[in-house]
Amino acid sequence: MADYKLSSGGVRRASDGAFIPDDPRNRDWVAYQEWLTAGNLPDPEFTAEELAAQAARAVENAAVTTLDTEARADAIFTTLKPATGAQIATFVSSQFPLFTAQQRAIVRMLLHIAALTLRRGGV
Amino acid sequence: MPSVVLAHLSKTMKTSFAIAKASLVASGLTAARTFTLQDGDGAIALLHQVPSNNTIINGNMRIAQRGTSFAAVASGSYTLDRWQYAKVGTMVHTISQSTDVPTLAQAGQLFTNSIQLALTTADTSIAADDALHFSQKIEGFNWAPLAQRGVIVSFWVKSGLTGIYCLSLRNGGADRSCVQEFSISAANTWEYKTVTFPASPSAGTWDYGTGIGVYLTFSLASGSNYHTTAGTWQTGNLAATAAAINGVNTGAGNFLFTGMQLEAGAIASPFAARSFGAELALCQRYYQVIQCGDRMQAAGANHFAQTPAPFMARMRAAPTAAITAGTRNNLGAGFPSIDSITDVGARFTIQSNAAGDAYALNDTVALTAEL
Repeated sequence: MADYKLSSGGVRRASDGAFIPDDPRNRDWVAYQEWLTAGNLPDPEFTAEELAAQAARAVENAAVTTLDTEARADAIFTTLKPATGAQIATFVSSQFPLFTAQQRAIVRMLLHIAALTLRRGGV
Repeated sequence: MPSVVLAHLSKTMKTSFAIAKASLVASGLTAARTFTLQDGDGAIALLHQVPSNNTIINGNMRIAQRGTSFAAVASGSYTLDRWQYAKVGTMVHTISQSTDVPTLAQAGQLFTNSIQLALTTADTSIAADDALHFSQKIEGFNWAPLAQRGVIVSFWVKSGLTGIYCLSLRNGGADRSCVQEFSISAANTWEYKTVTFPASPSAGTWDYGTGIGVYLTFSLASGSNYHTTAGTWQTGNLAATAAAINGVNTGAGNFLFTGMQLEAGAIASPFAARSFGAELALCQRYYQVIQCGDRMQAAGANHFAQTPAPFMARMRAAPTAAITAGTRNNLGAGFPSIDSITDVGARFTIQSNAAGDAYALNDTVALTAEL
């Protein structure tokens, strides 16, 4: 491992993990430049292992996000399927208080249709 | 413009005034300037009329952001704020903020702290390039008002070894130096010293901006490579005379000083103690510690939260930042991080390792923009 590791906007010092910004007035940056002039090379910002780990985490994160979306949809369907007309009306009133009565009626009708469809195994 | 009213002064006081004024004019004040004696205190009142701008920061050793004791100090390390230890040789020191100070009766004002260099390993044979230098690097912006003028350094000092010591001014380009001697008369006794320096030359590599304007350096030991004659500006990086003692020799014990002041002219004014807050703010231009933290309820891994980290004082340059952990949970490797650093602030970032509560709380960040 080299004494320094590249980082966005500067370098990280291996000895203490300090971030040294790219500023010619910073004496640590000047020391790093002297270290480079002496023929040394810093470590890359990310090693091959770190890049592979990042890629793996990105795939995992995407999978988790997809699962989360499906889980939320399942939860809504599970709740809606046995709902009575009164429960749907209460839900619409609480969730859409700014809607007009006509708009709330349309939403109630759509949710009724969805609930009936679910009960008949349509989804 | 202040003016002097001589009508009510005694002949002795008029004479004192004339001598003092001549010294002030010789030190760089224009002859057109005059001074008011506000009361009957004669020359003392006159001195108090001279603006006291101490260019030294933390001259009374009260600011200790990095800690109050430093064992086996490595060369190049900063100790109490603004004071840097540099050595070549086998000598070893423990440096601490001390409460050993000159008395009120001695100093005429209360000092609460001094800095103590306690010799734990002696260097009995100083090679040509050996040195023990203890310095304050003065930023070019602050040195510029004193440049090319006569200056005076005043301080209280106490040392285990009597003899000749040296104080020097050296420019940032390391191509101009001026060395002056002072003597410790009695061992382990507080003594007040004043050391004058002639006007610095315009020639040489001088920085009057954010770089090193000048080093003010105590030499406790300097090998022959650093030797020169006292009293005049010389070409080179020089810090002592051949007459100086080896201040890190066996039996040297402790070297302490406080009340350090650097100002224009040939007459030392009383040490001008700034408020603690004002002194701390001056130090924070070069070093400060801030507290940072962030927290989020992460929906998964690799989620970011960022928060601005403003600095308490504008720093000399974009500082180096070192984080010390506080309380942390569920963070990815390498986090928290601090980046996008400028001289006024930075960005503090956390990244979740998994879904759930992710935080870094009460982390501290040490910011260094020393010269």
